[in-house]
Amino acid sequence: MKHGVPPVRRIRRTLRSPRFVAWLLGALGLYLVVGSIIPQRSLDAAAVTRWAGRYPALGATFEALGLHEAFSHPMFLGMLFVLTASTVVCAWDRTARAARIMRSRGTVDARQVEALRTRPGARFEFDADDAEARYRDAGDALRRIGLRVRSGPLISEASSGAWGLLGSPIFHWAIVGLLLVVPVGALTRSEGLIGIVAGYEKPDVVESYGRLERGALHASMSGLTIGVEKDMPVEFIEDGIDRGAAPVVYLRDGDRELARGRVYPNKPLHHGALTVHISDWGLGAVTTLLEGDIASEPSQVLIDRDETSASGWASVTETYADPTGAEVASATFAPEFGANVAVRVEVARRDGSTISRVMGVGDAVDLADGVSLRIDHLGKYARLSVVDDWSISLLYALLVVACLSVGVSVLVPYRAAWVLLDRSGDVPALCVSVSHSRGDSGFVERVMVGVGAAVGKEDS
Amino acid sequence: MTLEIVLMWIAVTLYASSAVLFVTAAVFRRPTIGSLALWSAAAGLVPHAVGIGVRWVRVEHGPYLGFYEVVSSYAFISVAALAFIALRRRELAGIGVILMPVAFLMLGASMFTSKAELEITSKLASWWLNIHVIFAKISYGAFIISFALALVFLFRERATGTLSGMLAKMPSQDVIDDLQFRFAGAGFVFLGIMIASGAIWANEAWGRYWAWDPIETWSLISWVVYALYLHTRLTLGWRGRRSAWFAVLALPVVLFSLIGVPLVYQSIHGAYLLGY
Repeated sequence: MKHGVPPVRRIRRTLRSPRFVAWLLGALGLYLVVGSIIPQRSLDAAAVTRWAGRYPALGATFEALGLHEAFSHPMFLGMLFVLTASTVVCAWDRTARAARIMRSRGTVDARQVEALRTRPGARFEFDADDAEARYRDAGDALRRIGLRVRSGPLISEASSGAWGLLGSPIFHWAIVGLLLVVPVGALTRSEGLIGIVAGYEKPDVVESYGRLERGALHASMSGLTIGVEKDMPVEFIEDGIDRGAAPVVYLRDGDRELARGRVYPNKPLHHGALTVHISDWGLGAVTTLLEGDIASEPSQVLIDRDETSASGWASVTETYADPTGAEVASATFAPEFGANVAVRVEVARRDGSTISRVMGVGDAVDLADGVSLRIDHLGKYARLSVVDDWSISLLYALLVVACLSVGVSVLVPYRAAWVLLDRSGDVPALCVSVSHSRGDSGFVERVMVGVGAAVGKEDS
Repeated sequence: MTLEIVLMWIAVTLYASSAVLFVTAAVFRRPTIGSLALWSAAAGLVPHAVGIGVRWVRVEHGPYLGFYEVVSSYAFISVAALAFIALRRRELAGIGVILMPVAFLMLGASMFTSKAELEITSKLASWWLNIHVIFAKISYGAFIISFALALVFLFRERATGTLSGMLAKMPSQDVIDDLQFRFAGAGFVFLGIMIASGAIWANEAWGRYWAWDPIETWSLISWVVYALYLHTRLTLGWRGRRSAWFAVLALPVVLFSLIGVPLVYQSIHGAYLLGY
């Protein structure tokens, strides 16, 4: 009765099949080419619209297939999943093989001896009286080739260092690590833009961010305080290069300062999983709501550049509510350029009245009965990109391990040779066998020629 | 005409002479002409290096901004790779018959492009950029040697009669086959380091280590192509002709990702080649 192959074994066999992996890598490469040709929404949403306008039929098809999000498409993720599974199986097999070879280094079993005797790579025959000396010479020849030789009375085993053996499994495990850490890192990552007026602070909480992308598994914001020092140059020159806006940013936990540094491109502020970059800068105002003698917490108003407006700056509208949550007024802020630092505030009250006023620091304007808005500070603000991603350091480490191990695997592969002094025939002979993990015929030739020359014999 | 341009044209002339001499030496089987070709290539390296150096000092950055600098430096790497391999194994100098026409065409083409001096911007000012660029160039050098060896392998396999005598002094096909694999393997490692250092640099400059920008995607495609090359060779046993064809067809992918992508795609990386 015939039994079918169990599904798990069949899957495992498929995943470890070199031919399957070759097809998978080929398909992945082709998919990447397609993904690079079709505009991607994550890179340039406008390009996707333009492309759809230029090729309406194709655009609709690709939209339906989701190919404008090619690198988060289930097909792509599926391919990566299968590649990960396949790499795990390959890494496991290679590790087992490496462990087996490492365990057996320095020992040769009867089956290997028999194979060496009956199917050697080369066989050198001698006179009986100098066979031992020739056997020792063969060992010396293997040492000269750079192998570590372990000699017994009748058999010598020579091999290169263990690194050559471990390179390939470590590389495959590092790739597995990368294929796992990248998606897990993306799922647990948060990345957002936070605007902070120079000289002020904001807590690292969701409400502080203008734009925030959080992975599905991102736990929580750090809750740390992010601050920007008052002095913020917008053309910071270092080593003769204009670094642009370069605020001094600090992170603190309560009263304890955790990190501080001037931030500009290629010089972010790092603290644990947090990385703070400068994204841009703009103008900022700090305001306080006054109700009698009671002052609210200061609020930060952020004004960005706008190339389409006459002043080059956009205006920002804020709404204000009473303690019951009902809107009492809105105020629109726009920079006012004159002799003094000032902002034009246009207030629209609930009762329909409006007021427009140029205000400096310390000025106040009535929003409603008994409620006024005071300008506490006018200056610049830093738009910071705050990334919370624990996986980056691990990714770097895995990349280093992958590069080193594949270098060792390809450039310093595992090599081994065996020499048996065979006295079973009419005359003694040296039986030589060679293994090279990359199948380099040049190495096999070098060993054979080296051993042959050392013992003064041609391959017979 | 500035000193730099004069030096570059001298290099173009010497590379052109070298290419012609290499082909002549191969066709007429004249080792003396082959030596002359190698010396001509080596002589071209001197003005080329000085020209690059003069510009480096003037613009205060290495040859990696603008089409002229980038392509000229890859031409330099091609000839330097030939010099390296000829120094290590003189009998392999015959690959100059492939490398020198490539180097001549690259440098010649770069001479007709804009020589605008692009400044290092804040985003570019990083040590990671240097590491990224150095490994891009080293990996290209390894791949172009692998490509040339693969072409020699294929050429010798098919050639008969007079043609079979060409490149006769080169090592055996087995040695050529193994060497082209070793150089491709080394290139794969260096390309990996280039991608890794680029990711680190991107994270420091932009806060994202990977954004699927076309040039990032094409670097990954190149890496996958060479991973496939290594895989087919090491696990499927593709050697000889198949492996050589693979090495020949893989190089254009690398060239496209290093030079072609910014010309075809609007990319954040376009700044380094085109200056936008």
